[in-house]
Amino acid sequence: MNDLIRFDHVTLGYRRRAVLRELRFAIGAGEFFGIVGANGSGKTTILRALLGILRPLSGNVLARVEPGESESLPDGGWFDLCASPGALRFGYVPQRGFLDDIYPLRVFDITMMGRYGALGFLARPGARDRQLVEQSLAHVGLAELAGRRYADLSGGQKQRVLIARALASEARVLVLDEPTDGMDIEGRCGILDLICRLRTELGVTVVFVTHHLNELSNAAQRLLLLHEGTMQIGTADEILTSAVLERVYGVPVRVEQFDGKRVVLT
Amino acid sequence: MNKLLEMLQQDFMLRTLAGTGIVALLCSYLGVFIVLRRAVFVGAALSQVSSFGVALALFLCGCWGGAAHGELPWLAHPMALILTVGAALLFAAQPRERRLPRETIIGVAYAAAGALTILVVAVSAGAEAQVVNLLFGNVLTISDTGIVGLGVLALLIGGTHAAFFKEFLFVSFDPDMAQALGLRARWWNALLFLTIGLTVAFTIRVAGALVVFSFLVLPAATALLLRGTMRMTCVVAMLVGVLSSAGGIAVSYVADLPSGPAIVCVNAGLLALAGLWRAR
Repeated sequence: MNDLIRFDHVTLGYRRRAVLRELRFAIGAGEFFGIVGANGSGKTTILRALLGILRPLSGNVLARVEPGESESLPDGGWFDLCASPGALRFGYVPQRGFLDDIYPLRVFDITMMGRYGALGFLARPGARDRQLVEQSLAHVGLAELAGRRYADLSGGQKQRVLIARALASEARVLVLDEPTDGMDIEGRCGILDLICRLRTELGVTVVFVTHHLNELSNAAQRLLLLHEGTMQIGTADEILTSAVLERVYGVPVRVEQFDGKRVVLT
Repeated sequence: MNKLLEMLQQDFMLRTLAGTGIVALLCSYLGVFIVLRRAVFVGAALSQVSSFGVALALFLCGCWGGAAHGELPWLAHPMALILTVGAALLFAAQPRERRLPRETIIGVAYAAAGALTILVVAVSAGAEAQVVNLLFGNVLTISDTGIVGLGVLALLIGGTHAAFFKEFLFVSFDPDMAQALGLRARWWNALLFLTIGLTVAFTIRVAGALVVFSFLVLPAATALLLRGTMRMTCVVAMLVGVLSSAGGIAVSYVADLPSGPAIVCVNAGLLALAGLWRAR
């Protein structure tokens, strides 16, 4: 698996106060990469740096484009994400609670926002943009709700709209910030299955942020574990062991297999 | 009815209708963004900052002996414009990058500008009447030049928003995704708030702080209650604004009432009707 994004000795923080120091890891093209940590552990900070929204205090967040993907960037060469916003197409799926229901927007309108980055300043969405939006809604199973108001949808449907918007941007990387937060078991499973299916069908890279370790224990290929300033990174097999988890969290942890699925018990 | 026909035959009333109509169109449209961003006190704070600009200009010109008693000095409008636009740009900054939330900064600006206006007026001879006039406005005294100025402003703001509507909507609704897709959210926010600041700075001279603030909040709230699409909400807000301004001026002419408060009351009445319709 070729690396697509690389955190190169990155220190992140706000107003010169470091929150996470010396991050060094890479995310592979097509990989399902999980970031797990409690609230305040720095998950969102990493995510903002990844999206090019937060400039590192030191070090570089680098990305690579495929040959022919960009006219302005060298084929196969690494470039700074902060210096070239939008050069690597991210489909960001924020926590749905961050978006305000007061906006009188339909499902179609919000999904169309995924196209705004590709449109010029004065350009209006064309037939291809509308087609991509319709396809994206069909991918997440919401084609028939295109005309519905976003505010009137259930939590799970709202999350699917935001995933459709990310797909409409023709994203190479889906970045999901706690997409299952506040959902019941059925909703969680539905969203997780959808993301796994999209990764397989569309070949997108998935960066999934959550504070529930069990959520990613069977889906993620590699995990970045954040806990009280410490960081542990490795494959799911390497990270999801009693020894590693007890060392990181400082509490007794068991990792069991049920029906071929891994479960973390505390 | 005769009174209304009589009103339409008066030149100054036609100018008033045209002037407040343009103010209503502009402020009601921009109000949709202000209400959606839950920043309604931006309008009140900018009005207060604009008043402070006028008071400061009166004080400075009083010190230099630059203005005749009872007249607004030449510095009043540029000073009000600079301070209002400056405050609008301050409010535009992204909340996550600041120690204080936007609402707090707006509140501080409102309180500080209000207090400073009173203090500066207290030490400036003859400034009180000018600032009171600015706060409450006098839509009946608008000149032809004033209407042309408002028309130019409407073209400028309308053109900017026609061109960049999708960018303004995107950075208002989800600035992080906008930025992830390569849009410079900070710059688009600054441009949006710049258009709001310019509009408040110019329209407040015609309609006064109370009317401008009401146009920035009430028509948008009315339109949102009707639950249309985003574009329909903007159109309905503008229609409600124009209807309120014409209705308010007609009521004030017929019943011999102050025009500004009459406009605000008609605005509030339409909001109440929309609320009743929604609750049925």
